[in-house]
Amino acid sequence: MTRNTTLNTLLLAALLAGAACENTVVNRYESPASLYFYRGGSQVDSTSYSFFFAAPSAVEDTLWLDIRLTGIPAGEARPISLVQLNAGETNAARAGTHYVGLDDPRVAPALVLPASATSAVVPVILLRTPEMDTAAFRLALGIVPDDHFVEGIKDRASFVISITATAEKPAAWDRYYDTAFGPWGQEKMRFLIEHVGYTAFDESLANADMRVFLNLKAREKLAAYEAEHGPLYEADNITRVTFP
Amino acid sequence: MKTRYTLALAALLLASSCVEDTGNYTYEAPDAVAPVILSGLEASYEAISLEQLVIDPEMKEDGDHFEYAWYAYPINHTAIPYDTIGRARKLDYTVTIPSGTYTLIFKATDKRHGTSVYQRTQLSVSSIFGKGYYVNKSENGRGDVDFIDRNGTLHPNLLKQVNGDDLPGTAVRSAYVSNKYYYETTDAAGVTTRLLAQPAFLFCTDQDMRVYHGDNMNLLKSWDEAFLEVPAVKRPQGVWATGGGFMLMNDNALHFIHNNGYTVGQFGYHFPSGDYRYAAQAAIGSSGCCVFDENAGTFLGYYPAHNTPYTDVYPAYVGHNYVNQELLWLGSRHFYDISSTNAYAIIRDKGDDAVRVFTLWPHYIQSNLFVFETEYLINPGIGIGDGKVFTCHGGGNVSTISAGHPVIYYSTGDNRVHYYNLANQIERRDAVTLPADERVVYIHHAYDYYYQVNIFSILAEKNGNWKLYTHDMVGSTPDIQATPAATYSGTGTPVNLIYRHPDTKLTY
Repeated sequence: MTRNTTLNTLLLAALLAGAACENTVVNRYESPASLYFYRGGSQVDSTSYSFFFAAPSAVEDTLWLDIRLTGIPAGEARPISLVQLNAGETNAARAGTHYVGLDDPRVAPALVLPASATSAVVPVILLRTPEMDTAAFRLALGIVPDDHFVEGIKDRASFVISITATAEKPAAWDRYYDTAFGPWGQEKMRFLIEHVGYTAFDESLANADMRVFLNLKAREKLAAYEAEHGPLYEADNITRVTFP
Repeated sequence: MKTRYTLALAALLLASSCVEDTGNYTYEAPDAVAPVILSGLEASYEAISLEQLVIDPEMKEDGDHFEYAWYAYPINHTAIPYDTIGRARKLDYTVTIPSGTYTLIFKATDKRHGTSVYQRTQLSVSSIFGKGYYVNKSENGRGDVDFIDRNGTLHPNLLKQVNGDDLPGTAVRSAYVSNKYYYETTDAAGVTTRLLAQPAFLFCTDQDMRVYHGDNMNLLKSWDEAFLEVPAVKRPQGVWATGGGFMLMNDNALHFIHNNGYTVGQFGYHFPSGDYRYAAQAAIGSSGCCVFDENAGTFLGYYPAHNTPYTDVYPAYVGHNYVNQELLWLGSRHFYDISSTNAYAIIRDKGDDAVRVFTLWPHYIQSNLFVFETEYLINPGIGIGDGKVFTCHGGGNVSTISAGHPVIYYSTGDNRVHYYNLANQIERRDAVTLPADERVVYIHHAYDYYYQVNIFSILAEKNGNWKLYTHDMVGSTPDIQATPAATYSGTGTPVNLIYRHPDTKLTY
């Protein structure tokens, strides 16, 4: 190694050592805070709720919505401005009738992002009405800007809830359920809930053993029901409830 | 210029390929250089779990230039992986591979030549509970099992000895299947483990039924844990092994554990019983079973994946079910380790008292068929119609019954065993006679054509206690050696027994 090379190497090392001693300046995130409806797990951009699966005596039930923060957590709790976006529209849910108003004392205090929190789970209390036996009502909720939060992620600023008391065909029915129970029907589903005791319609029912178990039980329970009440029909009074 | 060099090089290479190879080679026969095993392996070996298995083959030559391997390949058991259980000439192995039957291969390689020699044998692995007689008996209002192991040692009250508890009531039946029990366990940390294709032993009294692990006889499931939905009434009438798992008859209803990859070791919902009243007997064929309705005096077929019984599906050449009959006996005929072949039934017509024996094929129940054939009307003077306990000679297979004799053994409940040969419709009286103060309560022919199991057992009762006689057969005839090969005795009133063998997958 020549003398010049040695000197250059030592100079470079000294420069690097000096640079290593400087304070690092980190840019702080200082964008304004906003809120959005979280999408993940079981929560997407909308949901359907049916009192069909609730006990016959149930008159209300609560959905919990996951709301997330963008921005810096604050040292104090901040209210969440949640409003109905579709009030007055056809088939829109009505506050006080189909759901508990968002300004109601049972709900309003819970519409808060706690101090230091980055998320909140807020309640929406749904109310059962006789109309729901034949109709569905739509509740479009939105997070609106206020003094604490600016407008958030645009396609995650709203969440829609369909409220009804009718049964809806489970997504997995045609794949597995039909081998245990046959074609789907609302009264058939009610019978399965009330007489067979099966309510886990969100499960796949891929377990063939369980399908045989449920089929045998449903057949026996239906035979017992018919012996006492006669045949069971769907709402059209034509389609008889049977199991394969 | 570059092209010229290339062509010149190619020409040189071509020229060299024409030079004759004048090398001096010596060719030797493979036998001359391959390793030689002087003392070969025996035809088969039995090993007990956690005990040492030692096999010491003698080689013509040994040394550092040899390497060895012992491979164990499971036979008919896909849930068990292949394994290498030794790397030395002498196998000295603590048996930890799962219970089952293996092809064991010994391989010796001479590293100098790369030549190898192999020898193949059969290895049966089981726990100490994997081979022997399980006598189902009752004593002081409790049911338990007296176990006689492969060494002839009696282990009385096995279930209570292992688990601290026997079952209430009178013993009814037990059943064993080597590889169809799937279940889950959860440890203290809440971690759930699913165990696949485990051996299971089920035992029932008239008041209870429990599931035990077939290797260690530890309790796996009590009554309340053994069902997807616990039946309202606890009144077991019997448990049977099937090709797919187990079948339980309880309170005049049938439940199945039918392995389909999802089972969790629990019986399913009962199959519809309608107006039927089941006799506590069954003939098993693969996963289906044939039972008898005492109300109508007729036969019914069940298959776990079909939700109603088969009652009237017959081939045209039979064309009828039997009705208005009294069932004297219904039982499966032992076959290979996997399944039964056909079954037999003996019935008496309630109208004219005619006694009939016929074969049936429960295998076909799962194919929507329920097949009877080869009916024999029993002639007057033949005593089989007075039988109280029965069994048939094992053997045969689905395509031919030539490997076994179409013979039904029976006793009228006294001290004698007779047999009736369906092939010539001749009866042999007093094939075996026990002491006059003993009473035959169960007879059984343990048979496996492939693994050469061929033992006739007579379970007798004397003054409230049991005696077991095991007999060899006379050659390949249906005759039983008059002198027992072994005799065992124990306390308690016997009802029946099963014989477990490490190569046999299920018991009937």
